[in-house]
Amino acid sequence: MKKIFLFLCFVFVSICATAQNNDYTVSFEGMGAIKLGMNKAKLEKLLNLKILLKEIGVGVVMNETIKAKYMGIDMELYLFGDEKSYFLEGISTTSPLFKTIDGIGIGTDQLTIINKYEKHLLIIHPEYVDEISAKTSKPRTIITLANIDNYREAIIFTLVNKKVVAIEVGPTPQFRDRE
Amino acid sequence: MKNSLLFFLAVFVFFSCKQKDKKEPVKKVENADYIISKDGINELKIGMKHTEVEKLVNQQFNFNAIKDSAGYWQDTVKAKYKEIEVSLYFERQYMDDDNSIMQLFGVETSSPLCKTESGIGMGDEKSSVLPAYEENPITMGPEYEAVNDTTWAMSKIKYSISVKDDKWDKELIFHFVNKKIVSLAAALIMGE
Repeated sequence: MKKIFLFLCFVFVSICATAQNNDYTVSFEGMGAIKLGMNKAKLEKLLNLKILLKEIGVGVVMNETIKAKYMGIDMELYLFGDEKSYFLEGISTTSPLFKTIDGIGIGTDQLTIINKYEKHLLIIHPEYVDEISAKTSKPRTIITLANIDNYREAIIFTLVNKKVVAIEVGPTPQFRDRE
Repeated sequence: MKNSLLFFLAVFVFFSCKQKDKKEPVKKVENADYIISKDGINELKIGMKHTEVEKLVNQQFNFNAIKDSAGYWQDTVKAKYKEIEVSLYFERQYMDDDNSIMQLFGVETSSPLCKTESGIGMGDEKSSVLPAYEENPITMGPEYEAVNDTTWAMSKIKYSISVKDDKWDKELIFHFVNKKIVSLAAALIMGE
């Protein structure tokens, strides 16, 4: 009887742990339950917030960044579209709770990412402070992990001194459709 | 006893300092004639006209692209630049209605004599490339191989690292097989 109880406890704890991990999993589709492509209604329901646009719809502006909380964690959401129909194009976080399925998250070093994703396309460059003059920020590096099955989807890691400080999921900047 | 102790202490300090002075040996490029960069191999520069390249390598090129006025616009020729074998990639230029001009848009070699300025060459590993180009944009990933006329598959052994210039105009490409460099190439970056 005691053994059965212990076994059930183990199963329960395992299920809880898996569910919790899934809540913070970073993939090409999104982060946890927040999926790219979600529209206003789905985002408002999931995040329990009312989205008030300030930029989209002003002139020809079609993108806007808003701040939101997901399970108590600060996130940045990148919206794209027009006033009537916009969707989630990208999302970013600096929370150490979020990790890829391979365990890459805040604090992971550059070499680990490179070795972990040998079968993917990686684009590495210093962060540009000024895109036009190509002036770069020395300690900050961007590593874009492009989805091998669709190069236009990416997980983008921002590193400072070769350690991840932020993770973003969204379109691969180098292969953006609309540019 | 005190003197001996002082002596040993002095010897210890001396050798500690010597150890600190030792630096990692800097790889030296043996032959400056074969230094490869994003611009080409020494005098063999990306963007040269085929007539200039012919003069430099002392060889007359036989382009299919020029022969066939309707079809080809790119062509590859093998040549010898000084002591090394190179593959030269040309592209037809359509300037001033003169389509007989071929421009060098890429050069590749597997010669062990050819190295980058920092000494990276054949047989070196991936880990030696990245620290040398921290300021540059880099793309890296497995290469694709043709399985048949219509299908390509990701190679399990071939990999490449491409170091771009800031404007993404030119690139220096390191080709790997089983994690070792097997060829180096300089090329113009072709748009999508």
